[in-house]
Amino acid sequence: MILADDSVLLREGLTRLLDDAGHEVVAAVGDAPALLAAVEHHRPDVAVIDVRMPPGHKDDGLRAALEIRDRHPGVGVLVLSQYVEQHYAARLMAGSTRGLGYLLKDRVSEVADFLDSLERVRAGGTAFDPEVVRQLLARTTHADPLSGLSPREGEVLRHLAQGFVNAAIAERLHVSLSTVEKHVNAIVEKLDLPRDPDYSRRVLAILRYLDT
Amino acid sequence: MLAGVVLGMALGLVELVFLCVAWPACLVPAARPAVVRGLDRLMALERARLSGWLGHEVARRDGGYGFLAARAALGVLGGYLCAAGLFLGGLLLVGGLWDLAWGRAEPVPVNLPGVRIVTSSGLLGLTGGAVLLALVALMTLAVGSLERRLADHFLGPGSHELMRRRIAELTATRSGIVRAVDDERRRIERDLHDGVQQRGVALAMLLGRARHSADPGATTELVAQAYTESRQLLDELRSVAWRIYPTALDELGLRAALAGVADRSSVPVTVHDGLAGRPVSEVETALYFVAREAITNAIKHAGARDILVVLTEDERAVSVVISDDGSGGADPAGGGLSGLARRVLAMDGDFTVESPPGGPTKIAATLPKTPPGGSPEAPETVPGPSGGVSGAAPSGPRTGSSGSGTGSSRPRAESSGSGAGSRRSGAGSSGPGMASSSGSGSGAGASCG
Repeated sequence: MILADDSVLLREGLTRLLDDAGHEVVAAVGDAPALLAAVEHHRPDVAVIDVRMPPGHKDDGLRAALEIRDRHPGVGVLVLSQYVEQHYAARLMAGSTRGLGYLLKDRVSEVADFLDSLERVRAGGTAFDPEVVRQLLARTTHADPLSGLSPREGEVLRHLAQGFVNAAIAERLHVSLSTVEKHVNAIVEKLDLPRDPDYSRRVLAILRYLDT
Repeated sequence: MLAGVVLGMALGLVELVFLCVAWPACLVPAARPAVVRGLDRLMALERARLSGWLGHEVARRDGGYGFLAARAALGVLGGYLCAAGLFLGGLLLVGGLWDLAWGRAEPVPVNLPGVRIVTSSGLLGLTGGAVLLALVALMTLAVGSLERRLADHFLGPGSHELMRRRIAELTATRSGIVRAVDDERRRIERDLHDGVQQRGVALAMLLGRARHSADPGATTELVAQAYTESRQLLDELRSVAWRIYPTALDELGLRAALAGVADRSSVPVTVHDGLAGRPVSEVETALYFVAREAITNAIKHAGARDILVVLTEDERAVSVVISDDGSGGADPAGGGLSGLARRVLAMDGDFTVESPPGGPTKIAATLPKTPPGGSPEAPETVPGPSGGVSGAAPSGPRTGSSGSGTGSSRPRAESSGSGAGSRRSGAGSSGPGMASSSGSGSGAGASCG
């Protein structure tokens, strides 16, 4: 893993947290150029990146993340942000969602969830913040088809958009895997989504659907 | 200057003749363009003379017949008196010298009650000539200053022009203050983001790890760390709040607030407080932020080891001067200083930064005791009558009722408008002092922005 955050405090805290969880942090850096150099050198499984970093103190981290996804598609990227910026999420989603995460920074305190998200990104999955999904749902222009979903199907959709696989959703909603699969099929049917066996492409399709 | 006055006499004669011809010529429509051309040409000559010999620049083009008539009378009369005095003085001097040189001086008895002197005609001539020439010199100065005043009166900025300048100044400082507010917000956001929020996340992370941890020993350790972190978070929050606005400033005044700055500073700060009472709140706040920013800059950028803050006042204005022994080179256009300059200029104050490379740095702000918003009780008197009698009184409530309807920002705007008006009339009555101070204020603004 590589950590990139300009706050020493957070870098240290995260390093400890990841160490405790058995991950190896090969480099912890404080600015975007150092991050790019470290990724180039170490080729980590995942880079955890803060959006706002030196030198520009704007979206330097995000731009570095996009560059990493461009140059090293094998490296998972988990972006941490102080605020949910739909714009940031949209820029990240513009390409593939394989090994991609976008979380509110505060989520690191929910250690188990954070580690789970990290693990998903490392394994090539997706992890989007519930807040990002909530905002997507709130402003989507497809309000009508969405209202056709049952409450349970809506819940499953929210989890799908966050990047959970069927098994994880089943566990979180305390239902059987086959029930989840049934709900997913219903959602795909009702929203007229492309039937794609590839999980990552399915998440992307859902996110794109909500984002328009 | 003598040459200017003598030239003025010649020009005055020409002008007199021109006016005599132009007045009747104006009645003939065909001759009017020629008259206007002549007027323009004469005015150009006058301007050249004023700037060349009397050191007086005239900006406005139109002055017209009034100026020429007054100028011609003054020029001819003053010029004639000067020339006559010069001629007579010269004759007396030369005659006296001539008499003394050739020994033809005759004894002249001066026989007055109590005084009995026998002098010579040569010495009398010399004395008379010298006195007359001195008189001519004095008169030249007087005529020169009269000419300048005349030019100011007829050609200088009129009330319309002064108003236009004032409006331009107000527009500039108004947008300046908006920018200053935005900068301030950006800074607050950064303070919160970089300090408080990071500590908050770190604290949450420690507690999260504690909850996640299976080992009770490690959990206790993590909770202890989280406790320390929470204390630091509170400290950070307190210091951010204090940086945004120290409540001591309102409650205890400038002296106490600056003492707080001095206490927190890593470098000795000496504060000399020469204020008899407390300035109005806006002035106090502005002085405080100027002093604090200057102190922060001196420590952070100039590596100062000794900082002196001096507060002084006179009957019109309050000043703060911050000097340090640091390495200088402060940039007046830099973020902090330009924000302060905008704030001070918006209050019709004067802000200067002297910071040569190598130091020392001296930052000074002078603020009028009564800021442009008017006297401190003005905001209360304006909305006052409106609250009770909305619509009963004929003229007053109109400004007031809009204020009471929309909240507190409106009455302020109203009162600042009327305050600016009253200040303008004040500038007119109290003479050049007021006008020059606002002029230097805008000058500093140009150099800072």
